[in-house]
Amino acid sequence: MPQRDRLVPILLVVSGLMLTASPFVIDTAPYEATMGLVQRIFYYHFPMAMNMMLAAIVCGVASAIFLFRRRERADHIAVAAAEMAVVFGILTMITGPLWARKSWGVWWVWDARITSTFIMWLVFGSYLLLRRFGGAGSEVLAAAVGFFGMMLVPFIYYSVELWRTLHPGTSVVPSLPTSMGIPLYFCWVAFTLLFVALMSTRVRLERSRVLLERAYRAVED
Amino acid sequence: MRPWIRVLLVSGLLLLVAVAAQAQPAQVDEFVPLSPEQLIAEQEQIPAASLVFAAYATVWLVFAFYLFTLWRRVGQVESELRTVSATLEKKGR
Repeated sequence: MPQRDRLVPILLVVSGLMLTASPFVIDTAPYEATMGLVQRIFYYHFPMAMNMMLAAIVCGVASAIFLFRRRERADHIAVAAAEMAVVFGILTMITGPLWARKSWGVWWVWDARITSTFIMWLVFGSYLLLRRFGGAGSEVLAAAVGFFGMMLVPFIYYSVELWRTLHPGTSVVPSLPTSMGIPLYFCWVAFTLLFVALMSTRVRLERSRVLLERAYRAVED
Repeated sequence: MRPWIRVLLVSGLLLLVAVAAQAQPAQVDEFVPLSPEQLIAEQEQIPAASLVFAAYATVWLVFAFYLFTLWRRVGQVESELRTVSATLEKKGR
């Protein structure tokens, strides 16, 4: 077993322990003045969104490497990252509306950030469907989709500055008081460790799947 | 999971988002004054604690489910790989 695969259980245990402790760490944060208790969804929602964008960047870079250099490992990483973008994206789009229902009074609004996030989720969903049902050669087309999916990341991040939206601006997180910053960074680290563990396992699955396909072809020959 | 079930699940999810989008408040035709008592009652209609609990629980459940399915897929593929590799070795390749 490669060393990086041996690291996965350790990462899972550390992130699991941190996530178990997270409600208690979040409980130390003060209530936000206008939103009150419901603002605590932010401590889970924000790391989900950031990891979704991280996954999109990893997928885009790996897709570009695969497109230009045809490195097989880059393709494995791109598939794994696309799946991470979909999983973290679903959770971003579930925790967001739960927060919005109380603070905005609606589950969903088609503002710039939410709409662009939803579009990016659709792009990576399409990537996975393309890989699953696209047949031979779909990995090249999917790599182009993954690369363009990554292009949405700066658009999503700066959408709150470029358009009028209900979402808080990009200055909120850097200006957080320490009492709110510590729980946020604690959760962010925990979810990022989980992201790395899941991503490594998914890359391992893709590598094994390709080896299995080759082994079957060798048996048939 | 069979491919058609996956397609059905993804389509269902997309439909759910579209339905949620339709659930936005209707356009306002008139302004109705709200008394302080009504305001308090209105705020209490949406309990924050259950929304926070739902958000945390969903995150935990989705990750638990995803980790379980991922681990199972890895197990299946690797055990199949070992079987096929053993067949290849027997054939002397």
